Amino acid sequence: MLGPEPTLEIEGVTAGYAADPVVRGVDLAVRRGEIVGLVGPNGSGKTTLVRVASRALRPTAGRVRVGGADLLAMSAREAARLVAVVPQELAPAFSFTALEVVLMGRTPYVSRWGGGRAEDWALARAAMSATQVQHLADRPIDELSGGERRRVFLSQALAQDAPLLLLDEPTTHLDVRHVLDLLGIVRGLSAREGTAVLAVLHDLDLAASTCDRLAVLHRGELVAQGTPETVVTPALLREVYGVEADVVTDELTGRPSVRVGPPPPATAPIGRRAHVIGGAGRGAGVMRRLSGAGYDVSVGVLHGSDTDAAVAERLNLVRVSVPPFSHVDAEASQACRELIEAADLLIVCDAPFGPGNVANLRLALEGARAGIPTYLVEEVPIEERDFTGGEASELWRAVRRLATVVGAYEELAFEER
Amino acid sequence: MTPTRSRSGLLLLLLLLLAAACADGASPASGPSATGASPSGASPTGASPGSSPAATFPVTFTDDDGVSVTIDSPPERIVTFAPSATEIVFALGLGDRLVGVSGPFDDHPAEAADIQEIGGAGDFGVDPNVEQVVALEPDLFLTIKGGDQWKDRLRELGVPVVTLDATDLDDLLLDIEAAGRITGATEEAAALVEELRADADEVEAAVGDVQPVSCFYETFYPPLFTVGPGTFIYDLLERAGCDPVTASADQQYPEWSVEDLVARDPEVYLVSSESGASPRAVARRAGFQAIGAVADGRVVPVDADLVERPGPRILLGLRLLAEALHPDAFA
Amino acid sequence: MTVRTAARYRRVLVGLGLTLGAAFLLGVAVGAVWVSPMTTLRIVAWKLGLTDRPEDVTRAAEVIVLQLRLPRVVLAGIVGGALAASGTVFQGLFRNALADPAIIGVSSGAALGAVVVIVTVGGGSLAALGVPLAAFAGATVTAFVVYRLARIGPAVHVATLLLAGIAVAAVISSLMSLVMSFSGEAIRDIYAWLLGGLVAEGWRSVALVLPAVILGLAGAALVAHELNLVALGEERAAQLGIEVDRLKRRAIAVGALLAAAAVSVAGVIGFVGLMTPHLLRLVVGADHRRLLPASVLGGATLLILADVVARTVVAPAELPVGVVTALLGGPFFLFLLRRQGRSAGARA
Repeated sequence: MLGPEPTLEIEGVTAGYAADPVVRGVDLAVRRGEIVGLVGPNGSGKTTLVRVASRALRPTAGRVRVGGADLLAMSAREAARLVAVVPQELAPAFSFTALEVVLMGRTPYVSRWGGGRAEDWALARAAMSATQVQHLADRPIDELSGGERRRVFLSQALAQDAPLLLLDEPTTHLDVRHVLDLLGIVRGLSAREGTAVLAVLHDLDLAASTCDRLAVLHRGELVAQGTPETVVTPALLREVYGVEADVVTDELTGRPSVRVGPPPPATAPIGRRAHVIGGAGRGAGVMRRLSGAGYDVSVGVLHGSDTDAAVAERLNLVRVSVPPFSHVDAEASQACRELIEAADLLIVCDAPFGPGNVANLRLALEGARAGIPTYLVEEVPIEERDFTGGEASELWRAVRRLATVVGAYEELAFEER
Repeated sequence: MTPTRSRSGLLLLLLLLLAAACADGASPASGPSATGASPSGASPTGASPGSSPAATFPVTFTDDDGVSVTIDSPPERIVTFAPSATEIVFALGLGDRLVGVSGPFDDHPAEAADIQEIGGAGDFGVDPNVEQVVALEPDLFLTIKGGDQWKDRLRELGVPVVTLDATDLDDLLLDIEAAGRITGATEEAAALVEELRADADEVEAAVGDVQPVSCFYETFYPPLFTVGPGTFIYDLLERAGCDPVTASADQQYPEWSVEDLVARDPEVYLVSSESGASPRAVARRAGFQAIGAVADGRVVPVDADLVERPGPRILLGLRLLAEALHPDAFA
Repeated sequence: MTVRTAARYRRVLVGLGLTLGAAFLLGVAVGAVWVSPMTTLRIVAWKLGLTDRPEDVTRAAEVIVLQLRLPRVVLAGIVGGALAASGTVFQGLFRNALADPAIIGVSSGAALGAVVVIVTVGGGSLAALGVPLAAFAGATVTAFVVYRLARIGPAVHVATLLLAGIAVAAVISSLMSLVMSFSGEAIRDIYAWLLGGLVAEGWRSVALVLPAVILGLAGAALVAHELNLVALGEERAAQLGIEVDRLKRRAIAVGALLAAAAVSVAGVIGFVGLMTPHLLRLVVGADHRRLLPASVLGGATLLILADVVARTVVAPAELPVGVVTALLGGPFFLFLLRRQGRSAGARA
């Protein structure tokens, strides 16, 4: 592939235990301004490869070059100016403040006596504002939440001002909003500064939607690399992940998205029905799980182009939908109302609500008032997804008062029937 | 591990004192009680002290540990566990009956070096080896205070243990008489005591009327250790015509502040050979030049074997001290 | 690290400096013999060439102040500062606030080295140089061994650190007994060294230990910044540009040098290196560049005060100063151990 000069070149790298290497003969290049996602099942060698690229692990064979220079031959200080790593999870031994931690990212530039040059302070401050942690500057790192701490360590890596950024499972333990924020920051950096990014991501959809290219590791070997479209195929999913799955094009991103096939039909509970109010993909997981648990699941009202609609279609669920970009009309509302009235369970997902689908919240409120057990999932506050100018928020809060509120999708537990 | 480390410092100190005591015959365990009601503990039944020169057996005897021992016949196989006891046994002319001594500190007379050693056992290497003692089949085990545990063990095994622990010169003379009675060497004991008493009188005649000098007796440095009232050495110092500046000590072997030593400014500075410091080394120590004794060159090394060992040579030690403290009186 | 905290740090340093000054004056003022503060000041002023020799001051008072108390207080300050600095370095390296040079066996290692030299060359002038060198060697070897034993993967856990310390201390203690049982006549010199504490050599001890401590403090200042990054783990420190193996060697050498310097003139004194950095970390923060100067001042103050207690409570007899620091530090250690155990449990 032709393009800008490679920032990271991994050539024939074998690493791990001498007798049983974890990665074998891997060739991989990441170019300037490019984001490459390293994917593969657990134990495929992703983290090992990133550790090689960060010098934490010495390969038994092969070469690693950054900006054309041999990474393994240079000093730690020189390497730290070229490669910045966002670590998985760190618990510092002592109570450093967030700013002190971020300033440590300037170590490869400061003198031994570690003076606080104005430039270093400015860069540290800038890195903190990029990840929106500047208000935490004087807080002890061990008093921050997991997400805040993760962003502080991202700032630390950004403060290194290196042309190559390595991310090792950057989204673990982060809630969805912070995942999107973090990847947004990384994309912006890559676009603006030309930073080359190599990211280990366990979420294939996330990798496909975020990265310019994907590299797939399987049992320590690189089995595929290229654009998400060329890499994420049912054949590869079968070979690498051992799953039968569809790959569809995500309507929002235009990127491939994995649709794992419906599980074998469970023993269906006679007459047990659940209705899901979703949208923008927020209901997909719940629908899969309810369906898997043997419920008769209905969903609506959805727009025809919505991710949730596609999922519902594949799961073969009862669904009410309206054409893309149209408003929910009286007919659709009535159809949906009947489904809700017949349901034993109503799940209201934290989808974005605009003029087109705010009618769903009215239906939800009717159902809740009619005494149907209602669960309301609230990972993202309503204020951030209210595009009606307040109407949706009011309705949401009204439903909220009658419903069982859960803070995360994982907290929903369904009886296996 | 530090919590125990500093404690082990104290332990070492204790050990040191114990070792010194065992070597020299002054037991740290001998408390003021030893100077109390029963001066030497020598209270044999059947014979009043000193009145009968003829040995009578069996003799029943309450020793300085307060334990009653009966000796049936004149001992043929004697084991001593204290250099002072070894010297006493030899002085009574019983050296040929000695089958065991404590160890390398039993260095007088020279023949003692050839006798089987029985010491060096226990946690601190200062106990007798019980197996060794039993193997020697002693009919008298003569020792000083301390070591109650192994003494009990030996008594259980049928070894007649006798403790003689002198707290001052008079007590030593009584102890020698007692040793004579339980070994059947009463006449030799009486002669020895008479000789020692005569020597003591002679020293007293020489220094009795002179003004006592102030002195300090160093047993260890650093830190500085000395002797307090109630010890054998302290008694000897007083007899030699000296007022130790440590009269206020409430322990027998206290650590002493150099500051206090400088302030009290003794006229004579005595250094035990146990401490081992030469007069030059003493003079080199920080602050010691301010002490009158050091400034005047009156730092005197003292042979610990003669002064600290309550045995038959003690009068040599007393005379040595007296001459060092009052050279003019012996001119 | 803002301007506000920088100003606060300066205030803390000034406060610690003033406290040290006060402790110093107290240390010179009290002792087994009463010398009035005024007399003390006049003696010092005379010695500094500010006044003529005061007429009414006795020779004893002069010697007590100038040759006994001053060197002892100065030595206590130097030793306390060195121990606290050593503790700061070891805590940073081990990523653990329980890493005191005495607890991890480094001080015992230094003591063993010293004892071996005393046995082989005696307590004479040869030992004066040999003891510190051997103490340094013993301390360095012990620190490396404990570090290797205590580290499991990237972390040094409390349990493994303490167990490694106990194991190594037990071995050293046995070796020490062994050496001493073969020591013969040298046993007296060994005891003199083990028990001598701060008393022994006056200004000569100060002259002996000061260059080593200055060297050690310079070394500590040199590694202070990099020790900060070790708090993130060795792998992360390396990713941020630290040559970790080199840093480890340097930090161990520096910590061992400071501990050995202290041990060679004062014997094993525990807990100063534990308490001081830990308490001051709460005040000045975790940054070793700030913690180090504060710890040196704090450690000096702590040991001077501990020594004042040691030589006054049972005067004219004295306590070993290590007994006083242990009385203070023991409960502190247990409290810290409990707290670390609890937070480790909470994390697990």
